[in-house]
Amino acid sequence: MPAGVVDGGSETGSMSTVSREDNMVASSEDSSSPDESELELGLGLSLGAGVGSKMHQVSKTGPYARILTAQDFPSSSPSPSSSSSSSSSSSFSLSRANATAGTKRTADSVAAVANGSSQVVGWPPIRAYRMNSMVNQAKASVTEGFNSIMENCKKETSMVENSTIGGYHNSGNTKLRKSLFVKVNMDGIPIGRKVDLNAHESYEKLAKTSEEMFHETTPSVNSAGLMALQRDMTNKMARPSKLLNGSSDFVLTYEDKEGDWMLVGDVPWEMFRSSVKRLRIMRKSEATGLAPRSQERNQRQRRKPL
Amino acid sequence: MMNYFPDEVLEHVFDFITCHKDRNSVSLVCKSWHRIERYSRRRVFIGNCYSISPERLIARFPGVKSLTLKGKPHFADFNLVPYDWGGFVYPWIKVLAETGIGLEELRLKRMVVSDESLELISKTFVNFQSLVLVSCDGFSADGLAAIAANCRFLRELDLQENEVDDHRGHWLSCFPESCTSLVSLNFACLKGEVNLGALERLVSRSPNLKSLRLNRSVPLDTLQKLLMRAPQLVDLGIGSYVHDPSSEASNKLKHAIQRCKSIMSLSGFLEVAPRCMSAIYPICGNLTTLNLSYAPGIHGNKLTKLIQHCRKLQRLWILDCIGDKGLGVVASTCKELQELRVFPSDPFGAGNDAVTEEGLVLVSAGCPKLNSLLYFCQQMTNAALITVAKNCPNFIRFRLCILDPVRPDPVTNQPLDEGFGAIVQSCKRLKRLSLSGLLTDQVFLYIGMYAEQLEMLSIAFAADSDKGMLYVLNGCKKLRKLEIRDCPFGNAALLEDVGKYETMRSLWMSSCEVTLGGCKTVAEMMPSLNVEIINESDQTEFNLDDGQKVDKMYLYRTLVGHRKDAPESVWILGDLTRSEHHEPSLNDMIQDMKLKNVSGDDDFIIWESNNFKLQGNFSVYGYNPFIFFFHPVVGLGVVASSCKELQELRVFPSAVFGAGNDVVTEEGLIRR
Repeated sequence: MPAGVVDGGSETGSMSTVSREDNMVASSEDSSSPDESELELGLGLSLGAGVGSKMHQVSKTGPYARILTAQDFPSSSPSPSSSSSSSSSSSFSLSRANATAGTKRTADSVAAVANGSSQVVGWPPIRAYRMNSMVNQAKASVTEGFNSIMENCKKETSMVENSTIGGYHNSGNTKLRKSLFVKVNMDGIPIGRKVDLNAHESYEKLAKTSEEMFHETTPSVNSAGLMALQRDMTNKMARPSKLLNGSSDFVLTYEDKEGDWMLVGDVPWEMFRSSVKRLRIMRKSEATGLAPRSQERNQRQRRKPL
Repeated sequence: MMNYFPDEVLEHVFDFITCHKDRNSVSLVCKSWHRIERYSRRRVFIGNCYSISPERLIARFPGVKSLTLKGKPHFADFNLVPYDWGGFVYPWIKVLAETGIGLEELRLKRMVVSDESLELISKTFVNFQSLVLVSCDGFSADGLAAIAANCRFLRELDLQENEVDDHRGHWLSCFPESCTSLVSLNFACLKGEVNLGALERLVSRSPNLKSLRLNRSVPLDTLQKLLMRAPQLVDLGIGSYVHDPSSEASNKLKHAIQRCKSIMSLSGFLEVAPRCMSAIYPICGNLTTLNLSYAPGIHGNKLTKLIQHCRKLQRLWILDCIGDKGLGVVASTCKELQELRVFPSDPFGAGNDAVTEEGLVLVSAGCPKLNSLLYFCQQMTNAALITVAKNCPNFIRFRLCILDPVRPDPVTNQPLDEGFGAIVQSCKRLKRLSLSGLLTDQVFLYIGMYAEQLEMLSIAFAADSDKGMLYVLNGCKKLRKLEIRDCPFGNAALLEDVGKYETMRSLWMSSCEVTLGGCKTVAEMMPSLNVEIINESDQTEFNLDDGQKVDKMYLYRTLVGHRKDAPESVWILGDLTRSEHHEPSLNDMIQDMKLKNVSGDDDFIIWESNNFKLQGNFSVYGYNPFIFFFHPVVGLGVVASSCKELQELRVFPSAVFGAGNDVVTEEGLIRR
């Protein structure tokens, strides 16, 4: 073999892929799925020796391009020779008699687990969906053994609910977010929308937005009555909200925290905002029996249609 | 030149090449193959939605029909990533819709899918056939209603483990009467009620239905009716399975089940009265896949009896209430077993029914074809792992989770380094590994030395020093995804070889020792990486000092620079003026001798030569500056550094030309 041939079998140091355009990203399924094999684009760059590990045999066949590493940048990075010293103090072990103090964070997390309290976030590594369904099944069953799960899962649950529910949420979870999205559904249109209550300071604005939202939706299911509504809306976009002044065939209603459906518009905006769970643009004909605007909630008598 | 055949013939040949890897290789052969492959590519897989943009996808593959996208990092599954981190599919749908792509299939994992996205899909892509959502969130039953109502040729609607707001079950009713094309319907993860009559009618008019997975709201009598209407089912997910074994309903069910002679995959039992399992026995003999991991109600004798009927099982997902003894039953019954997943039924307690190393050893002894494992257990020993490694050298995926994260070998009180070392040494085809238990740097030395095919590694609460991470980065050539939490790895390890990260899809480090300064350095050195810092604490508390430890860092290679949709809790480091990622041509790279992503432009892929032809596998020649045979491992950088007067470069993938190490130079064939 001519001198200078690098035996393709030996792996000389770490590798970096020079990606070809989109091949790099258009890789096949990863090993979490059994079906497709993996892409490796296969343009690699041979590096010089790594950290002096005995694993590598660097071929001395001439200059190789090197990945620019921390060594090439004298300014900011520590030299590799101190790689172990900087972290050697961070070894930790709970089982050894003289447990050296590990990194504070890690030791704390591990200590928490060792104590039996499950305070480590994300451990054990079980998908949130599965965790949730375990908690739900535990709630459904009343056996003794599950109560302990519930105790332990309470913290997990609230974390889980906050972070796994996606872009929509009720007004109950507002403290972490600046938006307050509630669902809006319109009778006869299968697709609901969401509206950010914090982006509207008044009922008028809210109603306008709701009208506009459903004006833009082109319903594809059962749309005869809706077409009329849309024409109606198109003709009257400039006027004040029809949903509020009663001149539309629809009214804007909301479900409050107690599960009652109320007409929108009576209570002060702030009070409304803090109690609304979701909105519904309801056909006037169905709005009979809603608690009228000036009535107290705990009176449930049927009223005249609006 | 290369084209002895007209384009149509080549295209027809390429139709037979379905594997992504091979198609990528094909595209590198020459300009015309690149062009033909581009236009004929129908399926594209994108493992990180932020590594490329939809515009570029379409520019390269205008004929794309099937798209797979993955969004959030894996640890998002365990609540380590803020809910608004990103991974929105809407921008993709919007661009695909605007450019007139005829999308037919969409598979998404860990992405945020809004109802608006689903609506847009349903209204834009007239030939849309298949929607698969795994571990996604952001949508409600309204979005599903749009899909049902508008996708006239829908074949597959497969929802796996998504968080869905389905307070209304009317979406099933939105399938029009004209929809008869369904092949696969999986709504097991929905929590709400569905319209049972609509479901029955839908199944009745779907003669091609092969896969049906119900949610817990579907009661037994409906199940029976569905099975009567769909005896051709191959894959069944049972919702509620509660009945009195002596009742009329139970007899009807038995009769219905027995008619279903094609069922090979069974799952669900989301609500179960375990005394009724005998009705299932008639179909157990054909099962190749059984997932009881959501059925804690089936345990003890009922469970083992059921398994004893399943002699053909290849894939088994169960809860650890099966116990070591039950795993012994699996070992003696399921000789064809390839994949086993044992989930904890009580993750935070110390269940007596849980499994230990004994169960795993039994299965490894009884099931020699075992190649994929996910095993949550109370304890593990080195001896057991060594035995498992000997019994099952075929592992492709080996994920072990000892519930107490730093638990040593309970017998010897030693770390589990030797046990995992045996696994990586024995299982030469190992692609995915998750570690747990007490582990020192030593295990990583083994991994670096032996795990040559390793592509994904998950590490938690392990190692003593930076050496651990360095062993892995230096040794695992094929590493694509590395995720680390709570390990003492710091800047020295992170910065040792930043170019390595460009060969990988992503790196996750949380609760480690890396600092803001270290992460910034990576970002500055590698413009082709997005380096994200996730900081969920109160913003005012976070110290902006470079010495501040970073709680969560996620970095990934990308061709499209910084993303614009990150929330406030996510900082993307690096020089913002470089967010428009510049891609040099090969000539630039040769001149700079720096590592950059190589442009996909056709210019450099092939240059004509009057003198030389190359073909076959290749090796690198150091002495001839004019000709280079391109080696996939050593690569283009070598070309750049050694070949200042490069006039010709041709790249041939071994996949196309098959085995053999022949290279051709002006002297004729030379065998390596």
